[in-house]
Amino acid sequence: MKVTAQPSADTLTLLLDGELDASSAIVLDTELAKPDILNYRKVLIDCAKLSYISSAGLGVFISHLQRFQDANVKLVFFNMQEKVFNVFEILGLDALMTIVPSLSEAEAA
Amino acid sequence: MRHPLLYIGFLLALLSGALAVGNLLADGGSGSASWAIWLLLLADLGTLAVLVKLFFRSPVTPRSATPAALRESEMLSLQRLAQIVQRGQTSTEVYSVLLESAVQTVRADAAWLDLDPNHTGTDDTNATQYHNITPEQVEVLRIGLRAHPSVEGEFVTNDLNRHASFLGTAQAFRSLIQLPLHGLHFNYGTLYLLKVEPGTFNREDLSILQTFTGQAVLSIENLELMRTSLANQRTQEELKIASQVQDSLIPKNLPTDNWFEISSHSLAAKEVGGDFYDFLHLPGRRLAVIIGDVSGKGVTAAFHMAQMKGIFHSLMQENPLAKNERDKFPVPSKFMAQANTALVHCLEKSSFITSSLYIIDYEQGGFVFARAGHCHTLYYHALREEVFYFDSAGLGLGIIRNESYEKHIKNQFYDYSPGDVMVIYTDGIVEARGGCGTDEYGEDRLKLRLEESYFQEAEDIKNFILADLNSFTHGFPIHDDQTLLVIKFKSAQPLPLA
Repeated sequence: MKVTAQPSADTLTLLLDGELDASSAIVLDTELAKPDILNYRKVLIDCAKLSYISSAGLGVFISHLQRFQDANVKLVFFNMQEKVFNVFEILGLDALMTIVPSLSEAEAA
Repeated sequence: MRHPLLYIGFLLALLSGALAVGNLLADGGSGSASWAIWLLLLADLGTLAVLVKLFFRSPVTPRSATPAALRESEMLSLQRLAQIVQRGQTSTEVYSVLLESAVQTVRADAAWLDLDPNHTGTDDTNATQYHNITPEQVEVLRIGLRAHPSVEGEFVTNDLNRHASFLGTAQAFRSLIQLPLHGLHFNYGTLYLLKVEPGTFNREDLSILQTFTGQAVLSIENLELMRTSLANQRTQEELKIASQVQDSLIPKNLPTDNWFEISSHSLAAKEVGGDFYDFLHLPGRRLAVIIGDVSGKGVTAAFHMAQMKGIFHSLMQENPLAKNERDKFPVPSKFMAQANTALVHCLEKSSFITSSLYIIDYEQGGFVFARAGHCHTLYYHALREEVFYFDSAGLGLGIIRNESYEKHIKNQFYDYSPGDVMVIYTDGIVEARGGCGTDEYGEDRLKLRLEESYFQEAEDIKNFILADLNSFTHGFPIHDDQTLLVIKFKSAQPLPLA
């Protein structure tokens, strides 16, 4: 699992590459837990290369959800593979989180 | 090889070995630890034999200084080393005693010990131990040694100034011994001893130091072996407790009646996941069935499973204040909302629970269920001869931690017919890996298997699915708990209760 951060003016894009499981969840959690992440207006998660997500991986997003909402930072997922989207959907997260097909929609969201 | 310091080394090995054996024995020393005991015993017997031999054969003959004074300092070193191992203290102390004792043994003017932070638990602040030398002086020598082409591993020189890389360096020492601390698998560090005078180290010095560092490394490795053995035992013990808890939570007796058949399967992964299921007969020929999966593994997951089971049994009690029959037991969506509230206070922020609760009402020939983020229910509809997944929305427990959760959970009502089959499971089934290692069993394959087996008894349907799952995952370890329940509604209908 590789997490690459691409900051721009008011948006931070995180590229996830690989399998997000209990061991790699720590890497992502460290990234999302950074205090200055709340200075962005939007955090976009590029899931194009995210091939698998376990419950520990979902737990990372869930644990930061409230914090992002409170700070008025919009969390948007895009380019999600169908298999990964199913995991979000089964848990009911698609109703709580913004998941859009492409980057342009993520930027517009 | 006839130096009194040898005794110290051997005694050190003996003591640490004995201590390690003692600890392993005290902790039960069963299973995987027993090989270590025999190994250590064997090593200790060998050391003892050498020690006895040395003691009887060689008179103590220090090369210079007064024999009495030397013996006294060696005795002190021995005592200190023995105490360190007895008190079960850290390897850091073994290193500092090693440094001091080595200095005394060869009567060095100065010395330092470089430790590898990767294997010795040191960091930049304590990776080097100094004796009678400043870090600046050491740095000058290090630069000189690095520039010297042949300085690898053991190295003795009796005139540093003869080496080109030291020419022109203003440093005080002429004789140097460099001695790596070779362990079984890696190098723990390097010991450096220095004398001001040239030509003062000899072969005997090196051979004594080799034995001595060898024994120190052995002590370090014994301490490490002891530590990991204890840690492993603790982890094993924890896992044992977790799987005992899990086992005690799974119902031993399945509910029976003549209007349904239930067959269940549960398999715990090695690390123990958090699957659970339970049943409860409610008055009026109703049956509550709950299934769930706690995120995370081990003792924490087992603990939350127990909580969930407690919540199920306490919320599914008849409410004596209920005004009508319908309100006596919470409907599934209400149950989930109450469970969510109860869990808020004890579930860690990154943990959640998925669950589905079904209340099957035989008298009405129907059931109502709510899905809190749990896997979709697979269903065979006998009249339509069709297999499908219930497609209902519903959020997992512990994700939203306020009243608004109730908006995210819905009840689904369904009338069943005799011959219908309901397949309830956890993600350990559909996410089981097989094929080329990244393929998942998947919902589609599960659905196909039910299409091929719906006409069989519940037990046979379950076995049919499991046989297919096993052939799919053949050769791959089980990463997550697997739970599978098959409920078949039967046509044999008893008379309604009076």
